Amino acid sequence: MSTESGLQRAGLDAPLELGLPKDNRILGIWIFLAGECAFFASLIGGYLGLHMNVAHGPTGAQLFDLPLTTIATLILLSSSLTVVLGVAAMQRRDVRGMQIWLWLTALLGLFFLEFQGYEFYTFYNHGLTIQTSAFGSAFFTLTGFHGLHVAFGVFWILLLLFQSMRLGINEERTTKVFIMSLYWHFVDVVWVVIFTLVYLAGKVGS
Amino acid sequence: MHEEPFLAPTQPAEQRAQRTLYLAIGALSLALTLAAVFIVVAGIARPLALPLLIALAVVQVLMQAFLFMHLRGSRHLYTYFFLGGVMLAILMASCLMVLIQQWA
Repeated sequence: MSTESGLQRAGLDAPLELGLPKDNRILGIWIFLAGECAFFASLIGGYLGLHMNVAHGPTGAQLFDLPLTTIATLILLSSSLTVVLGVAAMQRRDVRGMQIWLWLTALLGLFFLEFQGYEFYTFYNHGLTIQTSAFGSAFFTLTGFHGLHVAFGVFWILLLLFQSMRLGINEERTTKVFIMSLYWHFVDVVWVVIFTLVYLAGKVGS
Repeated sequence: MHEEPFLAPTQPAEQRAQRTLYLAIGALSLALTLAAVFIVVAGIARPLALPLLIALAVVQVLMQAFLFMHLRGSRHLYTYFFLGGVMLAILMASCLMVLIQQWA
């Protein structure tokens, strides 16, 4: 594929050079995500090593509310679909469609955070805090950091939405939206792993 | 030279096919989640439940990575970074889990 045909396919008017800067940004986010894999691996490994150490506090099997967490998981997975449809709309130069899908994604992300907040509050009321036991520390650290990633993702989406509403869409901002979508999918992927290894395995092991 | 992932299909038929694919993958991902929950709630395949759950999660992760994150059709270098990160993650998590269980 030549550079020229690539530009035509992107629907760009000016013949800009598709070179290293754009490639480097996408390569950069993949390198960042590889590092994030290691970050979450350390938290998951720590949780799996410590989850049996409950001291005198409640266990995961006693606390985990599977229907609630399943709904939260379905919401987060749906947000992966909405963000990819947003990117597809952007690729068609359908700015309005992209904005609608991204608003929906941010909304789903906020719903997920609300579920997580409610879960933390419930666990607190049942006597599990970050100081109760090694299980509590590992659980809140792992899911809390994931929640922070979701919160950052929502902030990023909203920032790009406001940019697109004020300034429209150009090649620079389409790349930013694409990079944000990679981050958002990664956060979803991490949740799939957490949901399986923490919540579902926690119930199976009980 | 591989195509950049953010360059869209230009033909309406291609665009429709792309949307259909995304919707199918999204629906399949939700269905796999519900299947995993069903395995746990119904208590079926008890000795094999954990490997089965992990297998379902791996399928979901690969679908997300290769189709939603556009690794399929992107530069192989991105795939190497992603899979390298995943391998490192598995190694780190396994080592930490064993070490902590040994000493906790």
